[in-house]
Amino acid sequence: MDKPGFGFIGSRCAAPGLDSLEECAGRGTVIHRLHPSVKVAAAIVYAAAVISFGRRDVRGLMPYFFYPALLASLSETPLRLLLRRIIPALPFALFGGMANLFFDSEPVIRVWGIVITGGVLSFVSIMIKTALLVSAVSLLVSTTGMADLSRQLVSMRVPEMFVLQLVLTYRYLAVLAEESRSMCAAYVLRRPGARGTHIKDMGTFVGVLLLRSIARAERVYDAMKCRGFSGTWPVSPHKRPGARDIFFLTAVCAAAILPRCLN
Amino acid sequence: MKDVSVTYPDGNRAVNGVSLALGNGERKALVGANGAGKSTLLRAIVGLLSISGGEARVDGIALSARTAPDVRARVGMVFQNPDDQLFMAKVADDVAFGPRNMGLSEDEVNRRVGSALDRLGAAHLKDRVSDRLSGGEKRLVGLASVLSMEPCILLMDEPSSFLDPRSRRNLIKVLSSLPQAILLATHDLDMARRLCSRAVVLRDGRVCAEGSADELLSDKQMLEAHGL
Repeated sequence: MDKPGFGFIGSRCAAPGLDSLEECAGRGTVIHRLHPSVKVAAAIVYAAAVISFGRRDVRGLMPYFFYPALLASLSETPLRLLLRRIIPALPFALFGGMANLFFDSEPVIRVWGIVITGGVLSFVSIMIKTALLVSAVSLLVSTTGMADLSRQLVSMRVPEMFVLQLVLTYRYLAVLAEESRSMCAAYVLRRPGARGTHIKDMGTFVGVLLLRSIARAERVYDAMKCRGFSGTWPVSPHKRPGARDIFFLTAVCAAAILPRCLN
Repeated sequence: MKDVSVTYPDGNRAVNGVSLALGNGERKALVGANGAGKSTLLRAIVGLLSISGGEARVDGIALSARTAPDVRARVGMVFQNPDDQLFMAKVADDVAFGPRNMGLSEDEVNRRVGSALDRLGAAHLKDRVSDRLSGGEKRLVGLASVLSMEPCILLMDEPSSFLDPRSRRNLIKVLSSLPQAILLATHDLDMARRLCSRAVVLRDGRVCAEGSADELLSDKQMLEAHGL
């Protein structure tokens, strides 16, 4: 029997890519119909409120689960889609927060006789903040769409170069995932029973994947140039926000800022 | 094009002294074995590759690095792999990309998107996610994304690849109805014969034969001699 190998991006060959968020963006719910500018502003206010909490303040973050839950429900965004975005981000937070467990050993509270140190609280706080921020950004993309979002960012005077990098990175990740999926399929078909990519093939796999995705990205760039792309992102004006948009933004600002002030 | 040559940075001269002309509304097939220089020639016409010798003019504009953006506004290129052509998440955004880059008003962009998709019978795909389309649908959307710029010339690189017979028949029907001049690089000799009035046979970057598509593409001996 074949030894288990190492997992790799796209090793589950049928895993949906970034476009699943884009599919959600095509819906016509009340949240989707909101003006992109208020959704961007609401996400920024929400993120700022979440980040502003102290490193040991876990309890204060609890009300902030309400925003993604409500938004996901109103926009009919499947929970599993959000989890699929949150879970890959958590290991980064895990590594970032783990050091707190060792360096901050000051006892803070006692729960059912168990002493909880400051390090544990700040570790949990980092994990929660990561989950909240990733879900807020995912919801922003899934209810607005990358094209509208980029146009909105440019019209909000975000440097065009930054927006361009964002859009091309988003596209490049999809290219990378596609190439990875097709390579993975070819690999598995010639190595029956393998789970993921074997460690001895990993170096070649990553190298070839990189070369293939660069070649593919160059062809995509050529196609963009052929359609008049010259390094600037074309922007079309959005209509102005209406009363419903202002109400949404006010409600989100109040819901994000009030718990912070009362905390 | 007059005596056009294209040399890659490694010194390989993929196109060597090619001369050809394409009139208004004319449809010409560019046939040749793999490596004959068909795709290279198409890429040179839109300025994706530099011409190392000779001269090319599109609608009176001499092709150079400086004039490439003007040429690209007149010449639409449909790539061999539709996945390379479609880079926006949604079909409507992809078809609108070219017109928006041309600085058109949003009303005009919407009109062109609707018109291009309607002409190809693909209006129902407008709000779909590009990656979820079938091969035939991707090909149509790729073509629509070029037609929305209203070019006077279409360059098509192996348009029948990735297509099933039905999608291929549909594509031939669609292309036959377009008013644009078309330069079609293909291995699909049947498609070339059905669609084009003239044909050019390339071999090792040189023109070996040129003439009526019916006559040229029926000459089995000549085609076999040139690797087809």
